Amino acid sequence: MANIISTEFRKLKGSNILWICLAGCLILPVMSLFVGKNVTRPYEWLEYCTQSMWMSILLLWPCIFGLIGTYIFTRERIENTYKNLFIIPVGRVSLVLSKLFVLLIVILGITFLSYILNIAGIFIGVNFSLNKFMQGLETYLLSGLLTFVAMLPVMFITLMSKKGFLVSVCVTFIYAFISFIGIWSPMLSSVLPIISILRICNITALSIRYSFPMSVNIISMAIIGLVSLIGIIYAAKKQEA
Amino acid sequence: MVLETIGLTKQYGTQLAVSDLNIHVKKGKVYGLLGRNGAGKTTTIRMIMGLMRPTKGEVILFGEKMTVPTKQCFNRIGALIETPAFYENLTASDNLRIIADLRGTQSKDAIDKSLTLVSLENEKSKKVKQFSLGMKQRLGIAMALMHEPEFIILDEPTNGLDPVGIQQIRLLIKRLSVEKGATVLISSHILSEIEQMADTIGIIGQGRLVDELSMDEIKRRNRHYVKMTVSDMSRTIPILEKGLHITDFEIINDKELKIYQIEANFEEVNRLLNKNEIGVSEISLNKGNLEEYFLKLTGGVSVG
Repeated sequence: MANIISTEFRKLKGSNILWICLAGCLILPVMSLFVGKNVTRPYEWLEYCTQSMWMSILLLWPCIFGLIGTYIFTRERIENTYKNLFIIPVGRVSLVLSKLFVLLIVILGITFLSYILNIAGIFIGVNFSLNKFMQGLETYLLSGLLTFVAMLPVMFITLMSKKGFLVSVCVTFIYAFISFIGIWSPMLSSVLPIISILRICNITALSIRYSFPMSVNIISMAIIGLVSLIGIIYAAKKQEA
Repeated sequence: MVLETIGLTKQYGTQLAVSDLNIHVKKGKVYGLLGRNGAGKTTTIRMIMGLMRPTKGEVILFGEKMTVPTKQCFNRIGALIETPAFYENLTASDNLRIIADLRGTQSKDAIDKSLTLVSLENEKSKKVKQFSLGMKQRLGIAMALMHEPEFIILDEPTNGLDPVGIQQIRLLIKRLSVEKGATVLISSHILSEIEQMADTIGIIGQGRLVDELSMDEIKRRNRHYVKMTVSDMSRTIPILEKGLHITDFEIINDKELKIYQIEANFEEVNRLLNKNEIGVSEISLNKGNLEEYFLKLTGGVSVG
Protein backbone atom coordinates (compact mmCIF):
# COMPACT_ATOMS: atom_id res chain seq x y z
CA MET A 1 0.00 0.00 0.00
CA ALA A 2 2.84 2.43 0.86
CA ASN A 3 4.34 1.73 -2.58
CA ILE A 4 1.08 2.53 -4.32
CA ILE A 5 0.69 5.78 -2.36
CA SER A 6 4.23 6.92 -3.15
CA THR A 7 3.74 6.18 -6.85
CA GLU A 8 0.45 8.10 -6.80
CA PHE A 9 2.38 11.15 -5.61
CA ARG A 10 5.05 10.52 -8.23
CA LYS A 11 2.39 10.55 -10.96
CA LEU A 12 1.54 14.17 -10.11
CA LYS A 13 5.07 15.30 -10.97
CA GLY A 14 5.20 17.73 -13.86
CA SER A 15 1.43 17.84 -14.33
CA ASN A 16 -0.61 21.02 -14.75
CA ILE A 17 -2.71 20.03 -11.77
CA LEU A 18 0.11 21.32 -9.55
CA TRP A 19 -0.72 24.87 -10.73
CA ILE A 20 -4.29 24.29 -9.58
CA CYS A 21 -2.93 23.16 -6.22
CA LEU A 22 -0.92 26.37 -6.05
CA ALA A 23 -4.04 28.37 -6.85
CA GLY A 24 -5.82 26.44 -4.10
CA CYS A 25 -3.14 27.54 -1.63
CA LEU A 26 -3.17 31.19 -2.63
CA ILE A 27 -6.83 32.03 -3.16
CA LEU A 28 -7.94 32.23 0.46
CA PRO A 29 -4.96 34.19 1.89
CA VAL A 30 -5.08 36.59 -1.05
CA MET A 31 -8.81 37.15 -0.49
CA SER A 32 -8.22 37.69 3.24
CA LEU A 33 -5.51 40.21 2.49
CA PHE A 34 -7.66 41.97 -0.08
CA VAL A 35 -10.65 42.26 2.27
CA GLY A 36 -8.52 43.04 5.33
CA LYS A 37 -6.36 45.82 3.93
CA ASN A 38 -9.16 48.40 4.28
CA VAL A 39 -10.13 47.48 7.83
CA THR A 40 -9.19 50.25 10.24
CA ARG A 41 -10.58 48.90 13.54
CA PRO A 42 -8.57 46.39 15.69
CA TYR A 43 -8.39 43.28 13.59
CA GLU A 44 -8.23 39.86 15.30
CA TRP A 45 -6.35 36.93 13.78
CA LEU A 46 -9.27 34.50 13.76
CA GLU A 47 -11.62 36.99 12.16
CA TYR A 48 -9.01 37.79 9.54
CA CYS A 49 -8.40 34.15 8.64
CA THR A 50 -12.00 33.02 8.51
CA GLN A 51 -13.71 36.07 7.00
CA SER A 52 -13.55 34.68 3.46
CA MET A 53 -13.72 30.99 4.30
CA TRP A 54 -17.42 30.69 3.46
CA MET A 55 -16.69 31.52 -0.15
CA SER A 56 -13.84 29.03 -0.31
CA ILE A 57 -15.84 26.26 1.31
CA LEU A 58 -18.96 26.82 -0.76
CA LEU A 59 -17.42 27.43 -4.15
CA LEU A 60 -13.67 27.54 -4.59
CA TRP A 61 -12.47 24.53 -2.64
CA PRO A 62 -15.10 22.11 -4.00
CA CYS A 63 -14.12 23.15 -7.53
CA ILE A 64 -10.37 23.03 -6.91
CA PHE A 65 -10.40 19.86 -4.85
CA GLY A 66 -12.88 18.33 -7.28
CA LEU A 67 -10.52 19.08 -10.18
CA ILE A 68 -7.58 17.55 -8.34
CA GLY A 69 -9.61 14.52 -7.26
CA THR A 70 -11.09 13.80 -10.68
CA TYR A 71 -7.63 14.21 -12.21
CA ILE A 72 -6.23 11.63 -9.78
CA PHE A 73 -9.18 9.28 -10.30
CA THR A 74 -9.47 9.53 -14.10
CA ARG A 75 -5.74 9.37 -14.76
CA GLU A 76 -5.50 5.64 -15.45
CA ARG A 77 -8.61 5.61 -17.61
CA ILE A 78 -7.52 8.58 -19.72
CA GLU A 79 -3.96 7.34 -20.20
CA ASN A 80 -5.04 3.70 -20.46
CA THR A 81 -2.53 2.68 -17.82
CA TYR A 82 -4.79 0.44 -15.73
CA LYS A 83 -3.45 -2.55 -17.65
CA ASN A 84 0.14 -1.72 -16.64
CA LEU A 85 -0.90 -1.78 -12.99
CA PHE A 86 -3.28 -4.73 -13.01
CA ILE A 87 -0.70 -7.05 -14.56
CA ILE A 88 1.74 -6.42 -11.69
CA PRO A 89 -0.87 -6.97 -10.09
CA VAL A 90 -1.90 -3.89 -8.13
CA GLY A 91 -5.18 -4.52 -6.31
CA ARG A 92 -8.09 -2.48 -7.59
CA VAL A 93 -9.31 -1.58 -4.10
CA SER A 94 -5.79 -0.77 -2.86
CA LEU A 95 -5.37 1.51 -5.85
CA VAL A 96 -8.50 3.60 -5.19
CA LEU A 97 -7.88 3.72 -1.45
CA SER A 98 -4.38 5.01 -2.20
CA LYS A 99 -5.85 7.63 -4.50
CA LEU A 100 -8.26 8.69 -1.77
CA PHE A 101 -5.40 8.93 0.70
CA VAL A 102 -3.38 11.05 -1.73
CA LEU A 103 -6.39 13.30 -2.29
CA LEU A 104 -6.83 13.70 1.48
CA ILE A 105 -3.16 14.59 1.94
CA VAL A 106 -3.26 17.05 -0.97
CA ILE A 107 -6.40 18.71 0.44
CA LEU A 108 -4.95 18.94 3.94
CA GLY A 109 -1.67 20.19 2.48
CA ILE A 110 -3.44 22.93 0.56
CA THR A 111 -5.59 24.00 3.50
CA PHE A 112 -2.54 23.99 5.77
CA LEU A 113 -0.42 26.06 3.36
CA SER A 114 -3.36 28.32 2.71
CA TYR A 115 -3.62 28.97 6.43
CA ILE A 116 0.11 29.52 6.87
CA LEU A 117 0.12 32.09 4.07
CA ASN A 118 -2.40 34.13 6.07
CA ILE A 119 0.57 35.20 8.16
CA ALA A 120 0.97 37.92 5.56
CA GLY A 121 -1.92 39.57 7.44
CA ILE A 122 0.54 40.61 10.16
CA PHE A 123 1.89 43.21 7.74
CA ILE A 124 -1.50 44.95 7.59
CA GLY A 125 -1.76 45.06 11.37
CA VAL A 126 -3.69 41.92 12.28
CA ASN A 127 -3.35 41.04 15.99
CA PHE A 128 -1.58 37.70 16.14
CA SER A 129 -1.42 35.29 19.09
CA LEU A 130 -0.26 31.68 19.20
CA ASN A 131 -3.43 30.56 20.92
CA LYS A 132 -5.65 32.05 18.22
CA PHE A 133 -3.30 30.75 15.57
CA MET A 134 -3.80 27.18 16.79
CA GLN A 135 -7.58 27.65 16.90
CA GLY A 136 -7.57 28.91 13.32
CA LEU A 137 -5.38 26.02 12.21
CA GLU A 138 -7.85 23.60 13.72
CA THR A 139 -10.73 25.25 11.83
CA TYR A 140 -8.84 25.13 8.53
CA LEU A 141 -7.77 21.50 8.87
CA LEU A 142 -11.24 20.43 9.99
CA SER A 143 -12.82 22.21 7.03
CA GLY A 144 -10.24 20.55 4.75
CA LEU A 145 -11.03 17.13 6.18
CA LEU A 146 -14.78 17.70 5.85
CA THR A 147 -14.40 19.00 2.29
CA PHE A 148 -12.61 15.75 1.50
CA VAL A 149 -15.61 13.81 2.86
CA ALA A 150 -17.98 16.10 0.96
CA MET A 151 -16.11 15.37 -2.29
CA LEU A 152 -16.45 11.59 -1.97
CA PRO A 153 -19.76 11.48 -3.95
CA VAL A 154 -17.99 13.19 -6.87
CA MET A 155 -15.19 10.62 -6.75
CA PHE A 156 -17.77 7.84 -6.69
CA ILE A 157 -19.57 9.22 -9.76
CA THR A 158 -16.22 9.72 -11.50
CA LEU A 159 -15.25 6.11 -10.91
CA MET A 160 -18.67 4.73 -11.83
CA SER A 161 -19.21 6.78 -14.96
CA LYS A 162 -15.95 5.59 -16.56
CA LYS A 163 -15.92 8.83 -18.54
CA GLY A 164 -13.10 11.24 -19.14
CA PHE A 165 -11.84 14.17 -17.13
CA LEU A 166 -14.23 16.77 -18.56
CA VAL A 167 -17.40 14.90 -17.62
CA SER A 168 -16.12 14.51 -14.07
CA VAL A 169 -15.22 18.18 -13.93
CA CYS A 170 -18.79 19.06 -15.01
CA VAL A 171 -20.13 16.81 -12.24
CA THR A 172 -17.89 18.66 -9.77
CA PHE A 173 -19.12 22.07 -10.86
CA ILE A 174 -22.77 21.02 -10.81
CA TYR A 175 -22.29 19.58 -7.32
CA ALA A 176 -20.66 22.81 -6.12
CA PHE A 177 -23.41 24.88 -7.75
CA ILE A 178 -26.22 22.85 -6.16
CA SER A 179 -24.51 23.26 -2.79
CA PHE A 180 -24.22 26.99 -3.32
CA ILE A 181 -27.87 27.57 -4.17
CA GLY A 182 -28.78 25.17 -1.36
CA ILE A 183 -27.93 27.83 1.23
CA TRP A 184 -31.30 29.49 0.49
CA SER A 185 -33.14 26.34 1.53
CA PRO A 186 -33.16 25.55 5.29
CA MET A 187 -33.94 21.93 4.46
CA LEU A 188 -31.06 21.47 1.99
CA SER A 189 -28.73 23.41 4.30
CA SER A 190 -29.28 20.71 6.90
CA VAL A 191 -28.36 17.83 4.64
CA LEU A 192 -25.99 18.95 1.88
CA PRO A 193 -22.41 18.06 2.85
CA ILE A 194 -20.70 21.22 1.62
CA ILE A 195 -23.09 23.53 3.52
CA SER A 196 -22.75 21.29 6.55
CA ILE A 197 -19.03 22.14 6.66
CA LEU A 198 -19.88 25.78 7.41
CA ARG A 199 -22.10 24.79 10.31
CA ILE A 200 -19.78 22.14 11.76
CA CYS A 201 -16.76 24.47 11.54
CA ASN A 202 -18.82 27.32 13.00
CA ILE A 203 -18.25 29.71 10.12
CA THR A 204 -20.98 32.26 10.63
CA ALA A 205 -20.18 34.93 8.06
CA LEU A 206 -23.35 33.93 6.18
CA SER A 207 -26.65 33.83 8.02
CA ILE A 208 -27.87 30.45 6.86
CA ARG A 209 -31.08 29.04 8.32
CA TYR A 210 -31.30 25.34 9.08
CA SER A 211 -34.41 23.17 9.48
CA PHE A 212 -32.76 20.73 11.84
CA PRO A 213 -30.14 20.76 14.60
CA MET A 214 -26.44 20.38 13.75
CA SER A 215 -26.49 16.67 14.57
CA VAL A 216 -28.51 16.17 11.38
CA ASN A 217 -25.75 17.85 9.37
CA ILE A 218 -23.18 15.58 11.00
CA ILE A 219 -25.24 12.43 10.46
CA SER A 220 -26.07 13.40 6.86
CA MET A 221 -22.41 14.02 6.09
CA ALA A 222 -21.34 10.76 7.72
CA ILE A 223 -23.96 8.76 5.80
CA ILE A 224 -23.17 10.41 2.44
CA GLY A 225 -19.44 9.93 3.04
CA LEU A 226 -19.83 6.30 4.08
CA VAL A 227 -22.18 5.39 1.23
CA SER A 228 -19.84 7.08 -1.24
CA LEU A 229 -16.85 5.22 0.19
CA ILE A 230 -18.66 1.89 -0.11
CA GLY A 231 -19.67 2.86 -3.64
CA ILE A 232 -16.07 3.75 -4.51
CA ILE A 233 -14.84 0.37 -3.26
CA TYR A 234 -17.61 -1.40 -5.21
CA ALA A 235 -16.81 0.55 -8.39
CA ALA A 236 -13.10 -0.18 -7.92
CA LYS A 237 -13.77 -3.91 -7.82
CA LYS A 238 -15.62 -3.63 -11.11
CA GLN A 239 -12.83 -1.75 -12.86
CA GLU A 240 -11.59 -3.38 -16.05
CA ALA A 241 -8.40 -2.36 -17.78
CA MET B 1 4.66 -26.15 -19.83
CA VAL B 2 4.69 -22.46 -18.90
CA LEU B 3 1.22 -21.67 -20.16
CA GLU B 4 -1.75 -23.77 -21.04
CA THR B 5 -5.28 -22.66 -21.73
CA ILE B 6 -8.10 -25.14 -21.48
CA GLY B 7 -11.30 -24.35 -23.34
CA LEU B 8 -10.74 -20.63 -22.90
CA THR B 9 -13.84 -18.77 -24.04
CA LYS B 10 -14.94 -15.16 -24.00
CA GLN B 11 -18.42 -14.20 -25.06
CA TYR B 12 -19.84 -10.67 -25.42
CA GLY B 13 -23.59 -11.02 -25.63
CA THR B 14 -24.13 -13.38 -28.51
CA GLN B 15 -20.72 -12.79 -30.04
CA LEU B 16 -17.91 -15.22 -29.32
CA ALA B 17 -14.61 -13.33 -29.20
CA VAL B 18 -12.62 -16.41 -28.19
CA SER B 19 -14.00 -19.90 -28.37
CA ASP B 20 -12.72 -23.04 -26.68
CA LEU B 21 -9.08 -22.08 -27.07
CA ASN B 22 -6.41 -24.59 -26.08
CA ILE B 23 -2.89 -23.32 -26.47
CA HIS B 24 0.31 -24.80 -25.09
CA VAL B 25 3.43 -22.72 -24.53
CA LYS B 26 6.48 -24.79 -23.68
CA LYS B 27 9.30 -23.60 -21.44
CA GLY B 28 12.14 -21.84 -23.25
CA LYS B 29 10.29 -21.67 -26.56
CA VAL B 30 8.97 -18.78 -28.60
CA TYR B 31 5.26 -19.25 -29.28
CA GLY B 32 3.73 -17.17 -32.03
CA LEU B 33 0.02 -16.45 -31.84
CA LEU B 34 -0.87 -15.63 -35.40
CA GLY B 35 -4.18 -14.32 -36.60
CA ARG B 36 -5.84 -11.58 -38.55
CA ASN B 37 -6.95 -8.36 -36.89
CA GLY B 38 -9.93 -9.10 -34.66
CA ALA B 39 -9.19 -12.82 -34.53
CA GLY B 40 -9.12 -12.83 -30.71
CA LYS B 41 -5.38 -12.58 -29.98
CA THR B 42 -5.54 -9.60 -27.63
CA THR B 43 -8.66 -10.92 -25.87
CA THR B 44 -6.79 -14.17 -25.26
CA ILE B 45 -3.77 -12.34 -23.83
CA ARG B 46 -5.99 -10.13 -21.67
CA MET B 47 -7.63 -13.23 -20.21
CA ILE B 48 -4.24 -14.84 -19.59
CA MET B 49 -3.09 -11.72 -17.73
CA GLY B 50 -6.25 -11.48 -15.63
CA LEU B 51 -7.40 -8.22 -17.20
CA MET B 52 -10.59 -9.88 -18.31
CA ARG B 53 -12.57 -12.76 -16.86
CA PRO B 54 -13.09 -15.68 -19.22
CA THR B 55 -16.70 -16.68 -19.81
CA LYS B 56 -15.51 -20.27 -19.62
CA GLY B 57 -12.27 -22.20 -19.46
CA GLU B 58 -9.05 -22.14 -17.51
CA VAL B 59 -5.62 -20.56 -17.66
CA ILE B 60 -2.78 -22.67 -16.27
CA LEU B 61 0.36 -20.63 -15.58
CA PHE B 62 3.55 -22.37 -14.46
CA GLY B 63 1.53 -25.49 -13.81
CA GLU B 64 -1.02 -23.82 -11.55
CA LYS B 65 -4.57 -22.85 -12.35
CA MET B 66 -4.94 -19.10 -12.23
CA THR B 67 -7.97 -18.02 -10.27
CA VAL B 68 -6.88 -14.68 -8.83
CA PRO B 69 -3.75 -12.96 -10.20
CA THR B 70 -0.97 -13.13 -7.63
CA LYS B 71 2.20 -11.09 -7.37
CA GLN B 72 4.22 -14.26 -6.96
CA CYS B 73 3.02 -15.55 -10.33
CA PHE B 74 2.91 -12.25 -12.23
CA ASN B 75 6.42 -11.29 -11.09
CA ARG B 76 7.59 -14.13 -13.34
CA ILE B 77 5.80 -12.59 -16.31
CA GLY B 78 6.51 -9.45 -18.30
CA ALA B 79 3.81 -8.30 -20.66
CA LEU B 80 3.11 -5.65 -23.23
CA ILE B 81 -0.56 -5.60 -24.10
CA GLU B 82 -1.97 -3.71 -27.08
CA THR B 83 -0.64 -0.20 -27.59
CA PRO B 84 1.79 0.83 -24.87
CA ALA B 85 0.39 3.31 -22.35
CA PHE B 86 2.26 5.66 -20.07
CA TYR B 87 1.88 8.74 -17.90
CA GLU B 88 2.59 11.27 -20.60
CA ASN B 89 3.68 14.08 -18.28
CA LEU B 90 6.44 11.90 -16.83
CA THR B 91 9.81 10.94 -18.28
CA ALA B 92 10.60 7.46 -19.58
CA SER B 93 12.66 6.84 -16.49
CA ASP B 94 9.87 8.01 -14.12
CA ASN B 95 7.36 5.75 -15.85
CA LEU B 96 9.61 2.76 -15.38
CA ARG B 97 10.33 3.80 -11.78
CA ILE B 98 6.59 3.68 -11.00
CA ILE B 99 6.32 0.11 -12.27
CA ALA B 100 9.59 -0.86 -10.56
CA ASP B 101 8.39 0.52 -7.23
CA LEU B 102 5.04 -1.25 -7.52
CA ARG B 103 6.74 -4.55 -8.29
CA GLY B 104 9.05 -3.90 -5.37
CA THR B 105 11.72 -6.29 -6.47
CA GLN B 106 13.93 -4.30 -8.79
CA SER B 107 17.67 -4.03 -8.75
CA LYS B 108 18.96 -0.44 -8.72
CA ASP B 109 20.14 -0.44 -12.32
CA ALA B 110 17.12 -2.31 -13.72
CA ILE B 111 15.69 0.83 -15.32
CA ASP B 112 18.93 1.82 -17.04
CA LYS B 113 19.56 -1.75 -18.18
CA SER B 114 16.11 -2.14 -19.69
CA LEU B 115 16.30 1.23 -21.46
CA THR B 116 19.67 0.25 -22.90
CA LEU B 117 18.20 -3.04 -24.05
CA VAL B 118 15.75 -1.18 -26.29
CA SER B 119 18.18 1.59 -27.27
CA LEU B 120 16.43 4.31 -25.30
CA GLU B 121 19.25 5.00 -22.85
CA ASN B 122 19.69 8.54 -24.20
CA GLU B 123 15.99 9.34 -23.94
CA LYS B 124 15.41 8.45 -20.32
CA SER B 125 14.95 12.07 -19.18
CA LYS B 126 12.59 12.93 -22.02
CA LYS B 127 8.87 13.19 -21.28
CA VAL B 128 6.85 10.41 -22.84
CA LYS B 129 4.51 12.90 -24.53
CA GLN B 130 7.48 13.78 -26.77
CA PHE B 131 7.97 10.15 -27.81
CA SER B 132 7.04 8.76 -31.22
CA LEU B 133 4.88 5.63 -31.43
CA GLY B 134 7.97 3.53 -32.13
CA MET B 135 9.74 4.92 -29.07
CA LYS B 136 6.69 4.22 -26.94
CA GLN B 137 6.63 0.67 -28.25
CA ARG B 138 10.27 0.23 -27.22
CA LEU B 139 9.54 1.73 -23.82
CA GLY B 140 6.65 -0.70 -23.43
CA ILE B 141 9.00 -3.57 -24.18
CA ALA B 142 11.51 -2.17 -21.67
CA MET B 143 8.71 -2.08 -19.10
CA ALA B 144 7.87 -5.70 -19.81
CA LEU B 145 11.49 -6.84 -19.56
CA MET B 146 12.66 -4.66 -16.68
CA HIS B 147 12.23 -7.28 -13.96
CA GLU B 148 13.88 -10.01 -16.06
CA PRO B 149 10.79 -12.21 -16.29
CA GLU B 150 11.05 -15.85 -17.29
CA PHE B 151 7.86 -15.60 -19.37
CA ILE B 152 7.41 -12.67 -21.74
CA ILE B 153 4.10 -11.87 -23.42
CA LEU B 154 4.24 -9.35 -26.24
CA ASP B 155 1.09 -8.34 -28.06
CA GLU B 156 1.98 -7.05 -31.54
CA PRO B 157 5.34 -5.71 -30.30
CA THR B 158 6.58 -4.36 -33.61
CA ASN B 159 3.60 -2.08 -34.24
CA GLY B 160 4.83 1.38 -35.17
CA LEU B 161 8.47 0.36 -35.40
CA ASP B 162 10.63 1.12 -38.41
CA PRO B 163 12.40 -1.77 -40.19
CA VAL B 164 15.55 -1.30 -38.10
CA GLY B 165 13.47 -1.31 -34.93
CA ILE B 166 11.63 -4.44 -36.04
CA GLN B 167 14.93 -6.18 -36.67
CA GLN B 168 16.24 -5.11 -33.24
CA ILE B 169 13.17 -6.39 -31.44
CA ARG B 170 13.27 -9.64 -33.39
CA LEU B 171 16.91 -10.19 -32.43
CA LEU B 172 16.17 -9.22 -28.84
CA ILE B 173 13.39 -11.77 -28.56
CA LYS B 174 15.57 -14.50 -30.07
CA ARG B 175 18.41 -13.56 -27.73
CA LEU B 176 16.18 -13.61 -24.64
CA SER B 177 14.97 -17.03 -25.63
CA VAL B 178 18.34 -18.53 -26.53
CA GLU B 179 20.66 -16.85 -24.01
CA LYS B 180 18.38 -16.36 -21.02
CA GLY B 181 16.08 -19.30 -21.61
CA ALA B 182 13.03 -17.05 -21.47
CA THR B 183 9.72 -18.32 -22.74
CA VAL B 184 8.02 -15.92 -25.13
CA LEU B 185 4.42 -15.63 -26.30
CA ILE B 186 4.23 -13.16 -29.13
CA SER B 187 1.12 -12.23 -31.05
CA SER B 188 1.06 -10.79 -34.52
CA HIS B 189 -0.97 -10.58 -37.68
CA ILE B 190 2.17 -10.58 -39.79
CA LEU B 191 3.21 -14.05 -40.85
CA SER B 192 6.78 -13.17 -41.83
CA GLU B 193 7.37 -11.68 -38.40
CA ILE B 194 6.20 -14.75 -36.52
CA GLU B 195 7.93 -17.10 -38.96
CA GLN B 196 11.32 -15.60 -38.14
CA MET B 197 10.98 -15.81 -34.38
CA ALA B 198 8.66 -18.59 -33.32
CA ASP B 199 9.39 -22.22 -32.53
CA THR B 200 5.70 -23.01 -32.37
CA ILE B 201 2.79 -21.25 -34.01
CA GLY B 202 -0.80 -21.13 -32.89
CA ILE B 203 -3.06 -19.96 -35.67
CA ILE B 204 -6.19 -18.24 -34.46
CA GLY B 205 -9.13 -17.37 -36.66
CA GLN B 206 -12.51 -16.00 -35.57
CA GLY B 207 -11.66 -16.75 -31.96
CA ARG B 208 -10.82 -20.40 -32.57
CA LEU B 209 -7.45 -22.11 -32.59
CA VAL B 210 -7.25 -23.36 -36.16
CA ASP B 211 -3.96 -25.15 -35.75
CA GLU B 212 -1.03 -25.37 -33.37
CA LEU B 213 2.16 -26.77 -34.77
CA SER B 214 5.91 -26.48 -34.63
CA MET B 215 7.80 -24.40 -37.13
CA ASP B 216 9.56 -27.58 -38.32
CA GLU B 217 6.19 -29.18 -39.01
CA ILE B 218 5.02 -26.11 -40.91
CA LYS B 219 8.16 -26.11 -42.99
CA ARG B 220 7.77 -29.83 -43.65
CA ARG B 221 4.22 -29.30 -44.78
CA ASN B 222 5.28 -26.52 -47.08
CA ARG B 223 8.33 -28.05 -48.73
CA HIS B 224 8.71 -27.89 -52.47
CA TYR B 225 7.91 -31.20 -54.14
CA VAL B 226 7.24 -32.88 -57.42
CA LYS B 227 3.89 -34.55 -57.64
CA MET B 228 3.73 -37.68 -59.77
CA THR B 229 0.73 -39.75 -60.85
CA VAL B 230 1.69 -43.31 -61.81
CA SER B 231 -0.23 -46.38 -62.94
CA ASP B 232 1.37 -48.85 -60.49
CA MET B 233 2.57 -47.54 -57.15
CA SER B 234 3.88 -50.87 -55.79
CA ARG B 235 6.32 -51.27 -58.66
CA THR B 236 7.24 -47.59 -58.76
CA ILE B 237 8.64 -47.42 -55.21
CA PRO B 238 11.46 -49.98 -55.63
CA ILE B 239 12.51 -48.34 -58.87
CA LEU B 240 12.69 -44.91 -57.17
CA GLU B 241 14.61 -46.24 -54.20
CA LYS B 242 16.97 -48.71 -55.80
CA GLY B 243 17.23 -47.54 -59.37
CA LEU B 244 17.22 -43.79 -58.78
CA HIS B 245 18.23 -43.45 -55.08
CA ILE B 246 15.22 -41.30 -54.34
CA THR B 247 14.24 -41.87 -50.72
CA ASP B 248 12.59 -38.61 -49.62
CA PHE B 249 9.03 -39.03 -50.82
CA GLU B 250 5.50 -39.40 -49.51
CA ILE B 251 2.80 -41.68 -50.90
CA ILE B 252 -0.54 -39.87 -51.11
CA ASN B 253 -2.64 -42.79 -52.45
CA ASP B 254 -2.18 -45.78 -54.75
CA LYS B 255 -1.65 -43.50 -57.75
CA GLU B 256 -0.10 -40.31 -56.44
CA LEU B 257 3.09 -39.48 -54.58
CA LYS B 258 5.11 -36.45 -53.58
CA ILE B 259 8.87 -36.47 -54.17
CA TYR B 260 10.74 -33.93 -52.06
CA GLN B 261 14.11 -34.50 -53.74
CA ILE B 262 13.30 -31.95 -56.41
CA GLU B 263 16.92 -31.86 -57.58
CA ALA B 264 16.47 -35.42 -58.94
CA ASN B 265 16.58 -35.93 -62.73
CA PHE B 266 12.88 -36.37 -63.54
CA GLU B 267 13.58 -37.01 -67.22
CA GLU B 268 15.48 -40.05 -66.07
CA VAL B 269 12.68 -40.97 -63.60
CA ASN B 270 10.11 -40.82 -66.40
CA ARG B 271 12.31 -42.80 -68.80
CA LEU B 272 13.01 -45.55 -66.27
CA LEU B 273 9.37 -45.92 -65.24
CA ASN B 274 8.28 -46.07 -68.89
CA LYS B 275 10.96 -48.66 -69.56
CA ASN B 276 9.35 -50.77 -66.79
CA GLU B 277 5.95 -50.28 -68.39
CA ILE B 278 4.67 -47.98 -65.64
CA GLY B 279 2.48 -45.24 -66.98
CA VAL B 280 3.25 -41.65 -65.79
CA SER B 281 0.31 -39.36 -66.38
CA GLU B 282 1.52 -36.33 -64.37
CA ILE B 283 4.78 -34.81 -63.22
CA SER B 284 4.39 -31.33 -61.75
CA LEU B 285 6.49 -29.09 -59.55
CA ASN B 286 4.70 -27.65 -56.50
CA LYS B 287 6.23 -24.77 -54.62
CA GLY B 288 4.94 -24.68 -51.06
CA ASN B 289 3.74 -21.22 -50.15
CA LEU B 290 3.53 -20.50 -46.46
CA GLU B 291 1.37 -17.44 -46.99
CA GLU B 292 -1.18 -19.42 -48.97
CA TYR B 293 -1.09 -22.13 -46.34
CA PHE B 294 -2.03 -19.66 -43.60
CA LEU B 295 -4.66 -18.04 -45.77
CA LYS B 296 -6.21 -21.44 -46.22
CA LEU B 297 -6.15 -22.10 -42.48
CA THR B 298 -7.49 -18.75 -41.40
CA GLY B 299 -10.05 -18.83 -44.19
CA GLY B 300 -9.33 -15.23 -45.01
CA VAL B 301 -8.28 -13.06 -47.85
CA SER B 302 -5.11 -12.02 -46.16
CA VAL B 303 -3.27 -12.62 -42.93
CA GLY B 304 -2.10 -9.02 -42.98
